[in-house]
Amino acid sequence: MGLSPLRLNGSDLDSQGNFSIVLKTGEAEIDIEEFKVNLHQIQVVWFRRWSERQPFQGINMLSENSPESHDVSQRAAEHLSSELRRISSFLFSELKHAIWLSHPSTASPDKLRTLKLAASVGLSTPHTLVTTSRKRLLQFAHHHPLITKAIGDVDFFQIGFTAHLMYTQELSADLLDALPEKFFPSLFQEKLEKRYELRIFYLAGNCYTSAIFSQSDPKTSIDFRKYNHKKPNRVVPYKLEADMEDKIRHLMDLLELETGSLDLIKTIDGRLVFLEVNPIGQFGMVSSPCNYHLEHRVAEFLAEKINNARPR
Amino acid sequence: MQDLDNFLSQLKEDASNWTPVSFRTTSKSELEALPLSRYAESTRYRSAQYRCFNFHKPISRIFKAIPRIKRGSELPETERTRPTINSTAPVTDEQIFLLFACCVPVMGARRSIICDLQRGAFQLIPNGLAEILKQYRGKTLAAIKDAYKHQYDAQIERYFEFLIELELGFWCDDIDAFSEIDFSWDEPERITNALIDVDERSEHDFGVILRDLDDLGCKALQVRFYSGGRILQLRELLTAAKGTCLRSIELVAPFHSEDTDQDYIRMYLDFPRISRLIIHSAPDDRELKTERSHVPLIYRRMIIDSSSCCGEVHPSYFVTQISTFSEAQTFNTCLNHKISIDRCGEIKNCPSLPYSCGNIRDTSLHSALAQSDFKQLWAINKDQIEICKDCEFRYICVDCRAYLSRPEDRFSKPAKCTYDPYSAQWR
Repeated sequence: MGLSPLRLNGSDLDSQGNFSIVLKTGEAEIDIEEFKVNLHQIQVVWFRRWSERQPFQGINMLSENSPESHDVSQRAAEHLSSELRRISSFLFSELKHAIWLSHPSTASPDKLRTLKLAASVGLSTPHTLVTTSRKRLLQFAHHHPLITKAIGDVDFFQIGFTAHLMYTQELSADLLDALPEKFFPSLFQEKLEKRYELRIFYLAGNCYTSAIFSQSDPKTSIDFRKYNHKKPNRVVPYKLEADMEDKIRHLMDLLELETGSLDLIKTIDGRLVFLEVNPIGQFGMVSSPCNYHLEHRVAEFLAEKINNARPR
Repeated sequence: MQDLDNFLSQLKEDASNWTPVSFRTTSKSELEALPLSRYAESTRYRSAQYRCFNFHKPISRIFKAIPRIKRGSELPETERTRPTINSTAPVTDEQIFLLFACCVPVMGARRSIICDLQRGAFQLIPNGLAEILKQYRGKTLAAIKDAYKHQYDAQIERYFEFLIELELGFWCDDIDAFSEIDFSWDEPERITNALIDVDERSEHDFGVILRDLDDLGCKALQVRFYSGGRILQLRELLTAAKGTCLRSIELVAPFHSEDTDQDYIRMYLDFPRISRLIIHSAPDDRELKTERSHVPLIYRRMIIDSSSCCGEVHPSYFVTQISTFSEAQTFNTCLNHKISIDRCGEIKNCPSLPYSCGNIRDTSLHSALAQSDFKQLWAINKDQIEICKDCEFRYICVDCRAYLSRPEDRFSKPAKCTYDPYSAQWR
């Protein structure tokens, strides 16, 4: 396609990285190891995720025994994190002229709003409750078995060699019993009996759909991201009905998203239920098992954007 | 229509049906202990993988499902290996069985396989079953039984039960939504893999070579040192690869008593691009796991001193993966998008081939690649090769066009393949 790509990792611009930013009159240049990037030459940005790690636990400014030692080092770590965020936000603002797929500031639709909009375009959605009250929850649980998951983005911590991810969790009777009267605001949804799941990579009006047979494996039946590496879930190409694709296009238009990954569930009783859309979802897990060559589709899309933006 | 259990027990009785001699001699008792009904063949080959080395084709590890970090919430072993997918008999004759799209039947002259492209394994099946799966895809159980005039109802049911048990397919209610995979091959790189041979007389400038490979988009590299290959030299090479788009580098080098396990392990940790390190001419055969546990350090007594070590065709070299399977539909599974430099610096499609497209001293990889005869073998696929075209392994096998059973015929079977698809025997 005659384009020259450059990959930037979040970690290239933090304490792990080896970089300098040089401000000249009206221009900024970033040196990363051997690369020199003039930010104004960048025409299009494909944005996936930007790591802002916080590897600063070890900072200790006072003597070990001092009672304030822990607080001080925590505050220092917070400060350093915010310093890093400033570098990132400078980079993003310097790339404002470019075409983004998708820009981090616009590409984070609210989960609850998305559900509401999905229902408005005629997609089936799960019954949902956000509450702090055990009483309300029990009323809700009376009608359906429940799951709980994050209200916002799923976060990820790595401590030592162990990764801690937030998964979707079934709400067992024990768990319900153990809850206090009042708790931190949490999201609950009816648990859907799955036949299989759909993961759709959406790009500019096209739906590239895969079906994931996660239900049959107890390890992945609530959340397929708890991958079974020995025996991976079956992932196969899937054709959505035209009417379903129309609804999805309508929803993505309302959300003003050009791309994203959508999760749906095909229930045992044959309903197709919309769960959520992840604007920066990875597409490798759809592309590779289905042989969709989505890397090619995305590259073409970006190249076309550049061509269209060029003055004629 | 062959009875399935009969087919499986025949396989078990006669090991020559399903395993080459080299395997039979190395672990006879192990072989006998294997249950044949469950991926026996493929698991066998996979665990034996490191007895032999695929010299043909370094493969980059892009989508390989290897967890880089251990997750905190792993379930206990018992739960993980529990049989899954509704392994019940069909409820009615009106149901439709469907293979998962990643499980593809390939028919051979005497028997067939189902390639499980997602889990990287294959299952031997009788031709009768493959015929049902290919010709009657999307038909109800009743329709299939009808088509065979109800002579084989029990066998047909047993076939599907077996496939469900192996998780190769499912009873499908919405057949229109499930299509087959489009196996077109599409890679952006001008070169996907490269092979470089080195001995004490070689004068390769790795800085220049790796820069050119990077520009061509090369993802996987194998470097074979017939002599030399001390750790310092390996490190120099790996350092030159920093910042390139190479994803994996396989190194083959002779044993040097001065270079210790620790030196090699430190090198692994310093250069995550290393995908495999084979030390040949070693005093003993052994493997060492490194901290990156999927990358073993392999010592072998065998002596590798020329490119004639290459060209073996063997089940342990089979690659049951969607990318290879797709490539095999149209292209040569070894030579397509490959470039190599032999020990004298000659730029060839493969070091074992007789023709060169220039020497690296005065020719760039780009200009060698541009020569009209460089790619002459790229589009010879297995469907055009005698005997191979009737072989059930044709889309997962890595071909060889350098050592041929009839050297004057470029469409003849690889000389080093000992499998006969007409008798379904390995010699």
